[in-house]
Amino acid sequence: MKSKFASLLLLAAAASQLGSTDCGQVLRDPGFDLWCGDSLCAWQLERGNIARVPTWDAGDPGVSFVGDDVAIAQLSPVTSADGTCIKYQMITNIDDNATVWLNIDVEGDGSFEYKQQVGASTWQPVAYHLYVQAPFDGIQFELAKTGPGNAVFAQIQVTIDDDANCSSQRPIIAAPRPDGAVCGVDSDCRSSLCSASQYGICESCDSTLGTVCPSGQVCGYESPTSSVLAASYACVADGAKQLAENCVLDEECATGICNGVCSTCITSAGCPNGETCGQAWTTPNADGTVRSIGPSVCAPNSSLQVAGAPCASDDDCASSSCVGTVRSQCDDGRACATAADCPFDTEPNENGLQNGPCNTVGVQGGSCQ
Amino acid sequence: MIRPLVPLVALALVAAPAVARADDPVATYALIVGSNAGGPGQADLRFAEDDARNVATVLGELGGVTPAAIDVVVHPTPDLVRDRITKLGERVAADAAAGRQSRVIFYYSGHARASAIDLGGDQLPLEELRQRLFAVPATLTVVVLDACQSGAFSRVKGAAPAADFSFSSREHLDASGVAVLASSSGSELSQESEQLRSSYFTHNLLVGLRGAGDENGDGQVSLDEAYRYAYHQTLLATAETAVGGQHVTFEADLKGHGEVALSFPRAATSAIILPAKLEGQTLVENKHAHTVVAETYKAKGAPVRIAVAPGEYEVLVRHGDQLSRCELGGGGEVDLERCSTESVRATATKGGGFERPTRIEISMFVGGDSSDGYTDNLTAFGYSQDFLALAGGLSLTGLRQVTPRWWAGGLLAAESLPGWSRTVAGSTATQELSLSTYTIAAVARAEQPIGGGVSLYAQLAAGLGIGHTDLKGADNMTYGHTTEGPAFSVGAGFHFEPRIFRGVGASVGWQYDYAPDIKDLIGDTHAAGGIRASWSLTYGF
Repeated sequence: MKSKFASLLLLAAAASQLGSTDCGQVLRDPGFDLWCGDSLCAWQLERGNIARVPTWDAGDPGVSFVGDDVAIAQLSPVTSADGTCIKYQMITNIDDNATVWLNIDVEGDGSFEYKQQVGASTWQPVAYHLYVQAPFDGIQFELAKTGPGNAVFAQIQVTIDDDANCSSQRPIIAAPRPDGAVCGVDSDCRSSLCSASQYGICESCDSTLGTVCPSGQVCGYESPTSSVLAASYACVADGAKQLAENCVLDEECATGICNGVCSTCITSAGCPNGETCGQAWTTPNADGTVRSIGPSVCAPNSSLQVAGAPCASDDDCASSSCVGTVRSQCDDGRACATAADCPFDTEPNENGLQNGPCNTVGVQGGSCQ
Repeated sequence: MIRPLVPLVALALVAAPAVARADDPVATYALIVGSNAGGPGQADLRFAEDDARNVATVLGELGGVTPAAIDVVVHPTPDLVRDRITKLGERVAADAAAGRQSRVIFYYSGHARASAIDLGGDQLPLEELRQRLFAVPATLTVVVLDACQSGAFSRVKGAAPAADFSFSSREHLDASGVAVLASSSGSELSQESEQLRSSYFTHNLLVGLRGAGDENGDGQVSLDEAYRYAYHQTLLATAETAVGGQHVTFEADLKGHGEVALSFPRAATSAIILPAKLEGQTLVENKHAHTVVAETYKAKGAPVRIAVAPGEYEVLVRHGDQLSRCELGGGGEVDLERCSTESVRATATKGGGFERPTRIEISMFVGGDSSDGYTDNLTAFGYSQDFLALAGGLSLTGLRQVTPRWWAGGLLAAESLPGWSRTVAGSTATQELSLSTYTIAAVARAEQPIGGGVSLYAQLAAGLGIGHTDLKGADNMTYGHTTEGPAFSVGAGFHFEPRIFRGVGASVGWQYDYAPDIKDLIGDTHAAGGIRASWSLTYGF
């Protein structure tokens, strides 16, 4: 079982190293042009209120920070594989009495490694360089304003630059990284465990290294906590995971069967009445490959399961009703609530700065009515 | 071009016999003065000195005046004129002492005022000029003045103003006295013609002397005939000009009888004969010199013989909407049957005003774009200019000729400037900026013909520019923005208007436009314009 999970983990980790930019641009919508109603489509409003305002032309809007405590942020999938010298250029209109900050959070784990105050300006372009020490999987850029005064951002273009242009910069060193982040040595990780067997991923346990978990727990699958992080190993409770949850060991699942995802069967031999063991849900790609990873269940989508039997979709049940938790997951199979939880497209195109989709695929921990 | 003082021909006849030929016992002297230079507040004349030379040529060819007796003075000063009159008086006095009669012709072409002729920055009072000329002891003195208000000179003591052109000197022949021929009245302006490259008066006087003025067909042109011809033709030619009709005046105090002959065209070895049946506006042009030898309206009924120097000539006869073009080598009779004929639009004036004083031009222009704070700002915002950063547009210009060299009018122009665009990073959304500018301006243009229907021009324009931008935003909405500012343009080029196309022409030129009329919301201004090449189609009427 573990070998399959290890492969998936490897893929996820490798993908996270590819990084992503759009013709060198690190941020999506650096000109604050994409508005979804009164909100920015590509930026997360962290605090306070914002408004769309004209900049040099009414058709090229900027974002105005309304109130005394406002912040917007965007997690960029830029990685150390893309480059470590980062140049950003800003065009702003900031009053003298406004206090505005650019905050840098390497890995997007909530710990800001660098803060720079943005001075007052009247639409004058300013440029800075940042040198972020490798490795890293992503950077969250936060623009924040405190206190009175008007502040309008028209542009923040962030690009990868030549390392030579950062030679005089003091490196920004990420705080100890969370599980799932790339690492070079153990000290890079909060867990103090940089798993060489997992291609340099921080993790909380590694059975190959003889890590012993507390009683009632096993060293199993740990979901990534950010779209730029990979899955990793951590001590998890025995048999606590429901049907359709990600796993690496049978012991993690309430069903006692792990097929990468907690399942009810591995093969048809495990099914009663000659039923076939198959994937509860798959979404075929145009090229015939399967995109979604689902649990293995007996007679999937056959409406044969009686009341109380485990199910992964309504189509599994004779009653056409499978009661449980709605299961949404990213293309790589990780659970998600919104697209922001999903990894970025790894292709260097216009979607490269956009999170992958978060699709509702079935039911987690379900049983037929 | 207007001559501040008119040509004044004062003819002082003292005991005059018939005008003598070169071999006559009567000696003939000609003092011919031409001055282009203008005095204070006066523009330089263009053809006064040429007119003086042409008068000398005609008097030598047809007036029986020997080259040694012709004294041509150009760029004169008052002292120089005084000196030449004194020397002329000495020669005449010597003749008189030898018992030989003499005739003096004094011609002046240049600026003048009511009380003096202007010789550059200096003046020679008319009263003094009169006294000096009349002090010359000639048997016959003819004074011709081609200048503005030259009629004022004719206040010759004892002279009786003629009532009109019907004045006939015949009844005064053989009488002593004074006669004055002036290009205009005492209050009129005298005019030059760009087309004739001469003053109207002198040109018509010389055409008359070449034979067009020989009313009675006796082969010589008398003072009376020359006056009547010059009077009619000058009045006709100037009637349609902006200045208005110009009346040649003739006043004389003559004693005795006999006709005073000024030229003998029949004696010329080469002549162009306009046959009796020919009728229409007729222009005789020396093909090699490209000069108009004669322009006259030939009436049907009697032949007209125009004496010319040997050479090749083209005779154009316009009658109604037909133009006959006749080639004559070494003179001869115009035979319309052997001339090429083409249709024309009857729009030209008979030498008066400008041939086609109004011109409409449609122009296309292409050039680059300039860089400034506005474009720097676009670059900072991540926009890129279109690959072929070309600006281009169309303009419509209307011009009115106000002087032979100057045109004035207005223009309307519309120009599209290079576009800018950018793609929103991380999406397929694009933003596209288009810029255009519209101009309404006054135009002043100077044009200098350089031959072959080609003119060199220089132009200035100034007016109002209206800049307009359309930005298609990431939301697919289009945001328009209109601003305004001054607009200037300076240019130069060549204008070509072949006669055969009758007003249709073309121009090619260069211009530099500057119109800071495109402005953004954060204080940057874009100056539309730069260096442009232009091509125009023109139509004059």
